[in-house]
Amino acid sequence: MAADRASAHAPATCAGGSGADSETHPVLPRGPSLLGPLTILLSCQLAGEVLARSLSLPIPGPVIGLVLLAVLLLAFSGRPGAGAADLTHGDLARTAQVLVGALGLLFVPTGVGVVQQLNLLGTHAVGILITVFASSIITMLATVGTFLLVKRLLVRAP
Amino acid sequence: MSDNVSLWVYLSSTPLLWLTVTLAAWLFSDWVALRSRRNALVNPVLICIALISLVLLATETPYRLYFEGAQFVHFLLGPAIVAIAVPLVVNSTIVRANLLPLLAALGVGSVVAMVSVVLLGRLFGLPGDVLLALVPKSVTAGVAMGIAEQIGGGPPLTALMVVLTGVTGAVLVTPLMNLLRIRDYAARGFSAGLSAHGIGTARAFEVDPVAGTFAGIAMGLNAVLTAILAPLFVPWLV
Repeated sequence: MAADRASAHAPATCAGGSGADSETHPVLPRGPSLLGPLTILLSCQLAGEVLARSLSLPIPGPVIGLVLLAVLLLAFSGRPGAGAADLTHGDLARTAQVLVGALGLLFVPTGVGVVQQLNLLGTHAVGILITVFASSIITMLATVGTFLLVKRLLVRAP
Repeated sequence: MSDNVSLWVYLSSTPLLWLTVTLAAWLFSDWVALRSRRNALVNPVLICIALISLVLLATETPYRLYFEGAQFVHFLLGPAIVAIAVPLVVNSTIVRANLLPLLAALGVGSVVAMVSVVLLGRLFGLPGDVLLALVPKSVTAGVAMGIAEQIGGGPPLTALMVVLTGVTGAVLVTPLMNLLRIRDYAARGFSAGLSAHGIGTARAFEVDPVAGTFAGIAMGLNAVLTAILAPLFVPWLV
């Protein structure tokens, strides 16, 4: 329904965009491309989902997509002419910055849904909260401790 | 008066309203967090969730209606996770240099996350179904709900535990690491992402790009490892 309404307006907005009158009318300055990077990101995710499902891997599709994109980027950045500048200032880098910079926002819809189900905590609310709190601290300590310990051992070993 | 009512009926049923509310609430929450100089206790995700929940409560809007607008934001989660490849490649040298510490921390952290929550839960007398829902609490919501289904925990309760864990980790990680005087942002970020998945990763990216990158790696790897380990662990844990 919403799509019908949107498409009804589309021809009118598109018609003004052809740059034929660019000398008489000031045109908007060309900004960074959004559609290209978004297509790259979605393609990687799509490939990831297809791989995850067809091989029934326990890995989420977007994570496979992440690996695919990283491999592609590493392959391209190794070639002469496509230097590190593309990775930090290119269109893909900007789009990635926007998305990753707003990562917190993307968890809000799920979070709001979860608040609606706070009653699931029931009579054990306090016990659950303390458990989650304490387990989080223990997990973070164990993780950071192992990380730093192994790092120190490796420095000493060779 | 009745005009106002019919306008509200129209607005509240279009995705436009709730998408706009979500974005506006986020910009406000993020601004508040920025004003606090990114103080760990002023978590924008938590503020934004609370604000929107209050609005939904006050307007008696059902979540399903809200989600019709919010789904556009929710959808971007996939491409955003793929986009972590960019900081990953930018920081690939430091990632390579920390590969062994990272893998060791992944193994230990993943097991500790599952075992500690079950043991603590038992200590506080939590029933079996709650314990099962808690096992995948450090895994990003979509995967955690899949794991819960597999091991017999309720997916909605698991989603609740996942978000609680995410917000808890995002709020605690900075004060905890500062207290221990740990300045290795790779290690700090990795532990945030391992324990508090995406919400911890969002926090890590607020603090430092290297921390964010390692948090993202931890989130991805822990989702995989927990999915493999949880069904093996559960029979003798719960």
